[in-house]
Amino acid sequence: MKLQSNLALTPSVVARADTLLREHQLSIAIRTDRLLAGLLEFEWGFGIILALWRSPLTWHGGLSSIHPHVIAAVFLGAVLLPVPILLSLVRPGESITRHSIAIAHMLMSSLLIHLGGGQIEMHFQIFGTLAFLAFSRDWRVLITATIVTGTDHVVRGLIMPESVFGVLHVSVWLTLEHVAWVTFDDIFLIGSCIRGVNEMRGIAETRAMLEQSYRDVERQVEERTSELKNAQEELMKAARTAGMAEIATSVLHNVGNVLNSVNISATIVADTLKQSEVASLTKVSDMIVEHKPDLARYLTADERGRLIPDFITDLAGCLGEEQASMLNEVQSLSKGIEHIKQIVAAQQSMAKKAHVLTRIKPFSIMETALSMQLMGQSGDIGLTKHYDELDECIIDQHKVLQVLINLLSNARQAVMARPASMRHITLTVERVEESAEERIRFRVKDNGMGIARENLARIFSHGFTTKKEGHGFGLHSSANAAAEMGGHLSVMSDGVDQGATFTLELPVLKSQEETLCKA
Amino acid sequence: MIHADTKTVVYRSGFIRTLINRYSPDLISRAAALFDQSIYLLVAGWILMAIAGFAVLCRYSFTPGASAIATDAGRFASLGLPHAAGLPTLLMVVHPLCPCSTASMRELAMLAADCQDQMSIDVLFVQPKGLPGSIESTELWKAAEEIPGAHLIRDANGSAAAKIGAATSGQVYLFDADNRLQFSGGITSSRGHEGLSEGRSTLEALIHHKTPLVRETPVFGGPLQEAQ
Repeated sequence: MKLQSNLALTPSVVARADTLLREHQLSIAIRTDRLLAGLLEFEWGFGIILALWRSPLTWHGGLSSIHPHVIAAVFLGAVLLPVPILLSLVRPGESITRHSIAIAHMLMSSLLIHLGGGQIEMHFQIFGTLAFLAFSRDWRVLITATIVTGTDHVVRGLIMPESVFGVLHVSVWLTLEHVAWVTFDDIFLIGSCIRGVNEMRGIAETRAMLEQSYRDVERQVEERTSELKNAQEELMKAARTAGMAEIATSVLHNVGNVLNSVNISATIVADTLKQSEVASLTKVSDMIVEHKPDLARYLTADERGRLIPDFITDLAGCLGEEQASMLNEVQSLSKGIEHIKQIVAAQQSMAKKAHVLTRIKPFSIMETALSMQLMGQSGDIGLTKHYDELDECIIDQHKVLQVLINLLSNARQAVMARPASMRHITLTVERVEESAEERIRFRVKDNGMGIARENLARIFSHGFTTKKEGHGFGLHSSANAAAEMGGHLSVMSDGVDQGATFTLELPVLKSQEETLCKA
Repeated sequence: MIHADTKTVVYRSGFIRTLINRYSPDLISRAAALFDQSIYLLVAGWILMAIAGFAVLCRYSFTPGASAIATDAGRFASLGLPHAAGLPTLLMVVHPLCPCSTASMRELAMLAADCQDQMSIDVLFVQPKGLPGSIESTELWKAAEEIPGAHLIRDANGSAAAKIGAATSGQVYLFDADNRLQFSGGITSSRGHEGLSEGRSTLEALIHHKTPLVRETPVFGGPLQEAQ
């Protein structure tokens, strides 16, 4: 499933691009306003130094006084500063601020030209100032600056033409030349501003599209993650159901086995009752009743009557044997039914107590699993039990039982390939000594068909099975259950026909809170 | 609504804030509101103040000094200034410390470069009473020394300048080869402002034997002597 993003200029993308462009322009405008306001202060200081250097004093013969240029540099310069600086502080980035700064810079340039004695070199800073004003990327500011310079030239040209051009009679070409140089500079700077804004727009659009793309991808990732989670939950449910089905199958299998025994016992009792010698007793009773008036003569003189005492004696023996036999079968019957009750009760109690942590001695879970798996099969599989004396601990009884039932079922099936006398399963419940953390180990070791080395790595994989009628859920769900409890399930086998050992290790939980943390 | 930045700037000054909160707690809000409402008026008023300031500066810069009293060839000849025979003589009278005459001296240098060997140049340095230091150490003297062929003359107490009627530093006279006055005035367009001027254009025309538009121009410089 490929993640897709749509890099197109949708209305929402355009709106976002406009917002980004405005923010970018505002940040540039604020930065430029503060830069140029600071530059004004620098130019003011420079003007004062220039005036003090070029014309510090004015002379009347032998008397001197402060030159008016120094006074102009200090006070006229000071007049030019406050409004642009104030606006750069309280209205940074706004149009009124940019234009005020532009006006201030052009007037300051005029003052510096004046203080510099009109040297041609001082005129260069007009063009430098125009370039600085272009930093804001607002071409309108350049128009304002040009208007200030143009107005100055036009007004003074009308009132005092010699103040602009130095002579009274000015050629129109000289005027046009002055205009042309500024216009030339403006054309390139305005073009640069417009190109700059277009580039900013392109950047804003690209960023808006990338943001949209990122949101699309994020949304798709969330959807896919949700789908994966759902699929995982379904899989776990299926695994759990499969595990439950396995337990149910195992229960039914064991119940079936017990029912066989129950059925046999019931049949024997029925046959015994059918073939009971009670009918003979009835016949003897009828004969005695028939010859009741001369019973003594009948029992001693009659050919058939003389047989009755011995017959009754033999009959008593047969009936006693029948009774003993039937009692035996009834006891077996009763035991089997009790076992079925226990199996069903165990399954019911486990179903009710699913996911409930209980404080229990670990060996009792093994015994419960054993009872659910090997009931009705006792005697055909040798069992060895090694149970450590362990205190009660908090265990997810259902999960552990599920795992152990699965392991015991597999062990039982594995050893069935052996002759009955050679089948053996060893069960171990012990404390793990070699780890720093307190852990419990449940081990099921059989001497059955074993596991090929190449299958050991895949034995816990979902869907993997070596059984003809297996579905590959049991060990996989058991391994998952072990992991959910903070433990792990492992296997060892020396190969085919070498038996196998499955080990379930779990941490010992001290409290319900610890359980929650580990979960 | 008061702009957030207006309040922020004021609130940054803890001293101002304390002062205002003590005497008029809502002064910041009222001042900020007033500022927001009248910002364009503020900018317009500021522009007008700047224009007024420049008008005053321009008025100073374009107010010439006292014009020279009319002089003649006799007075000039009586000075005995050095000059080349057969060539016009250009005489500039300067106060050695006048900053406005720096531009005049630069214009003279450019004129001398344009009109090499076509005129004789004399620069009369007026030395009023009470002038500190020696005039040879001044920037003007050094600038005049740079002009090829220029004769630098010290005028103790300004008597020579007074004889020919020069009153303002930067006064320029042009006498032809027969010591007849051809031009009297300044060669800058305003105080201390170099560049194209009527005076310089006139001198160039005269030296190149052309008919000028004017023969007198205002002199933009300081007085050579103290006011009487």
